[in-house]
Amino acid sequence: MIIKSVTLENFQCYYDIKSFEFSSGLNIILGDNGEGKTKFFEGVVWLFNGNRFKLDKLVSKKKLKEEYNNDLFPVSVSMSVEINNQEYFFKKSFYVESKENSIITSDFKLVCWHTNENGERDSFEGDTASNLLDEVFPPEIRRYSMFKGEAELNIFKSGEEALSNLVKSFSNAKYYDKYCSYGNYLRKKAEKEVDKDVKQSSQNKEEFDRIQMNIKSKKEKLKSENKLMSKECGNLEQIKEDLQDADKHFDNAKSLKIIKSKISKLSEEKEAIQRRIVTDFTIRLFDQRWILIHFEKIQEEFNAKINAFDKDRRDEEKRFNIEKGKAQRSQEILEQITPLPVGVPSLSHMEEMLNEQFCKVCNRSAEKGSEAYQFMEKRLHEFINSQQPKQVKPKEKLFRFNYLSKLWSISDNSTRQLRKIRKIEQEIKDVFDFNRSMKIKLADIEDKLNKKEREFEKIIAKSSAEEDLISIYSKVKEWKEQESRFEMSIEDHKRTIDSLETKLKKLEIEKESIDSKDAKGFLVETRSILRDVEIIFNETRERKYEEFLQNLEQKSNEIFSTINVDDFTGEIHLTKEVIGDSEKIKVNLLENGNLYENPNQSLQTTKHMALLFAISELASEVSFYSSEEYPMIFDAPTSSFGLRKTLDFLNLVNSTEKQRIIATYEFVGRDSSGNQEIEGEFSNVNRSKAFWLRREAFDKNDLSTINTTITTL
Amino acid sequence: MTRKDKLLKEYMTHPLIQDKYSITSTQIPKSVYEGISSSEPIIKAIAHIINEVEKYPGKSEVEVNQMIRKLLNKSLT
Repeated sequence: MIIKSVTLENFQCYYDIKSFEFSSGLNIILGDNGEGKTKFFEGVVWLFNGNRFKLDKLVSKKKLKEEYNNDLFPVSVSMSVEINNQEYFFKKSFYVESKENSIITSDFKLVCWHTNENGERDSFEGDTASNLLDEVFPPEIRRYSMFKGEAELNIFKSGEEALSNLVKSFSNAKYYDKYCSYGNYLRKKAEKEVDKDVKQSSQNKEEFDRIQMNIKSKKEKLKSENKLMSKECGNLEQIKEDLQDADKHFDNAKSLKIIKSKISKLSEEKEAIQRRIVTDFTIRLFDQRWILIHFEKIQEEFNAKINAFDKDRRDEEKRFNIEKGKAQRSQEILEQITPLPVGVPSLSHMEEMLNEQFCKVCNRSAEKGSEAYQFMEKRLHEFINSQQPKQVKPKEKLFRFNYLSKLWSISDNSTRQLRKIRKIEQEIKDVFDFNRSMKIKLADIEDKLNKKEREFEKIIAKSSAEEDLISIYSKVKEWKEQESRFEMSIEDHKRTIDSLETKLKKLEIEKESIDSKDAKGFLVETRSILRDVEIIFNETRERKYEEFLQNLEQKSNEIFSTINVDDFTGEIHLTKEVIGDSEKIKVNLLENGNLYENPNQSLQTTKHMALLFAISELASEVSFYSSEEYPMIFDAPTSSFGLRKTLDFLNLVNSTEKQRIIATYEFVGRDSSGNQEIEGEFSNVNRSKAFWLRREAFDKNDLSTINTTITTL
Repeated sequence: MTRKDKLLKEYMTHPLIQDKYSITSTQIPKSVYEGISSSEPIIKAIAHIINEVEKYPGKSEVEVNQMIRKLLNKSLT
C-alpha cells in the first residue's frame, strides 16, 4: 500500500486546501518548530482514529475569522491510497458555522471512493467506509506505523507486552495461537473423560479422590503463587525502570548544568566580541579625522592655487615697483636738480651766510631780497623743518594685506599633518579587517550557542521540570528499599513454586498409575495422544515465535549498525520472558555480552527504529496473510540525532525503497537576515520527495493570522 | 502449497512425531488431505483439527472436540 496524497482543508494551521502529493520511497517534510509538521501528523491520525470530541479545536482560526457570521464552511482531511492496483480515496469532514462568539460544528462524515483496476468507481459512507479504511490500513499495523516524536517510539518498554504483541501480530505466532487453544481444550476434555472413567471403576476410589483433591489444591496454589510472583516481577521491573529513569533524569540534570555553563561562557564570549567590534564610526569620522582620508589631493590643489596666487602677487608687485620707480626717476629728470642733502651746509653756516649775505657754497654775494638769498633762506627753513618731528607718510603699497602668508601658514600646518592623514586609509582598512574577523568569530560562537541552546531545549523536553527532579531524588531511597524487598519476595515465591511443582509431579505419577490400571485403555491412549497434540501445538508456536525473534534480532542489528555507521552501537539482544501467564520480550543493548547500561537517547531511538524497520521488513517476508507492505509515518523521530546522523539515517531509510514519511526540523536554518532557508547539507539527503512547511507572515499575538504553506522542493 | 499444508508440515517437524511415535519422514503426509487418511492416530488427529479450523474458522472448540474424540476413540478401539 502507498499513500498517494494527503489533503488538509481548513484543518488547524492549514488554511483553505493544502495537499501533499507523496511518492513511493522516502518523503521528507521539513519545517521548523511550530510550522505545521505535527498538525499534518495529527490530521492523518484524526482521519484514522478521530472521534466527535472537540471538533471545534480542529478548525483553522484564520478561516473561522474570515467566515465569521457568514456561511458554513468545511473542515476535512482526505487521503488517497493505492493497494493492489486499486485506488481508495478516504475523506473525513465536518462543517462549521461561526456566529456571535460561538462555533457550531456538524457531526463528521467519512466517505470512501473506490476505483478498481478496471476503472469502475463506487462510493461508500459510514461504517462501510470505516471498515474499508481498516481493511486497507489495518489498525494493528497502523499502531506500529505511525509515531509522534521520539518518546512514542519507545513502545518496547520492558514493563509492557507491546513488543511481544507486535511479534505475535507480525509473525505467524498469532496464527498458531488458536491451535494452542484447541489443543488445550481437547487435552482437558480427554483428562476429564479418563478421570470420570477411573472414578466409576476404581477400587481405590478414596485414594484417587485424595490424590485428585491434592492435585487440584496444589495446582490452585501453584497458580496463585505464579500470579503473585508475576505481579511482584512486574513491580520489580517497574521499580528498576523508575530507578533507571531517575538515573537518566540525574544525567539530564548533570548535562543540563554543563550545557548551561557552556551557554553562559559562550554568551560572555559573544558579548566580549560584540563589544570589540568597532561601531563608533561617527566619532572616528570627525574626532579621529577619518573624513580627511582624501585630504592630500585637496592640499595639493590648495598649494597649487596659493603658488599661483603668490606668483601673480609677486609679478603684480614687481610691475608696480617698476612703475613707481620709473615715475620718480622721470620727476627727477624733469627737475634737472641734484639737490643738496638736507643739513648741508650746516645750520650755523647757513645762518652765517644769511647774515653776511654771501653764499660760501657758490662763492658769490647774495644780497637780501635776491634769488640766492631767498634760496638760502628756503634751505634753512627746510633744514629747520626736517629737525621737527614729522608724520611719516606711509609707504605706498600695491597690496594692503598679505593674505598669502596666512594661506602659506595654513598650508604649512596642513602639510605637517599629512603624515598622519596618510595613515588613515590603512587605519580604516585595519578596522574593517578586524571587524570582519570578529564577525566571523561571532558567527562561529553564535552557531555554537544555537547548538547548545537546542541541546538545552531537547534535554528540557526530555526530562521533568527541576522540581520533579528533586521529588524523584527523595523517592530513590524508598525505591531501592522496595527493590530489595521485591527481590527477596520473588526468591521466596520461586522456592515455593519449585516445591509445589515437585509435589505435584509426584502426585501426578501416583494418579497416572491408578489411571493406567483402572481407566479404559483407549481413553488413556486418546488422552496421551491429545496431550502430545497440545505439546506439538504449543512448542511449534514457540519455535515459530523464536525463529521470528532470531530473524528480528539479526535484521534489527543489521539496520542498527547501518544507521549508526562508524558509531559504537553495541548489539540488540531480544529475550523472551514468561512469568506466570504473561509473556514479554526484553530488548537490551549488549556490549561484549554485558548489559549496556543507560545508552544515550540517540542510541535508544535508533534501536527502536531498527526494530520497527526490521519488523516491517520481516512481516512482509513471512506473513501467511499477505505480503503487502505498509507506509510508516514519523513525526520528528530524530530529535536527539543531530544533523549528521539524521542525514545518514534518512539515506538509510531511502535505500530501503519503502514508503516512509518523515517530518523533521533538521536542515531548516536561518540566513544572515534571520530568514528561514534550507541548509546546503540537505542536498546530500537522498529522497523521493521533500516538502518545506512555512507559516505565512503572521501576528504572533493573533492565531487567526496563521496559515501554513507547503513548498515541494 | 496451501496454508493448511504449510501448517501441517510445521507440526510434523516436531521431534515427538519421530521420537515417540517412530514415524519416518516417508510416512509424514505432504498435505492435510493425505494426513486425514493416515493410519497414525496422531497425524490423523492433527490433520483433522487443521482441516476443521481452516475450513470453518468460526467452529467451536466443543464441536472440534466431539469430532476428534469420536475419530480417535474409533481408531484406538
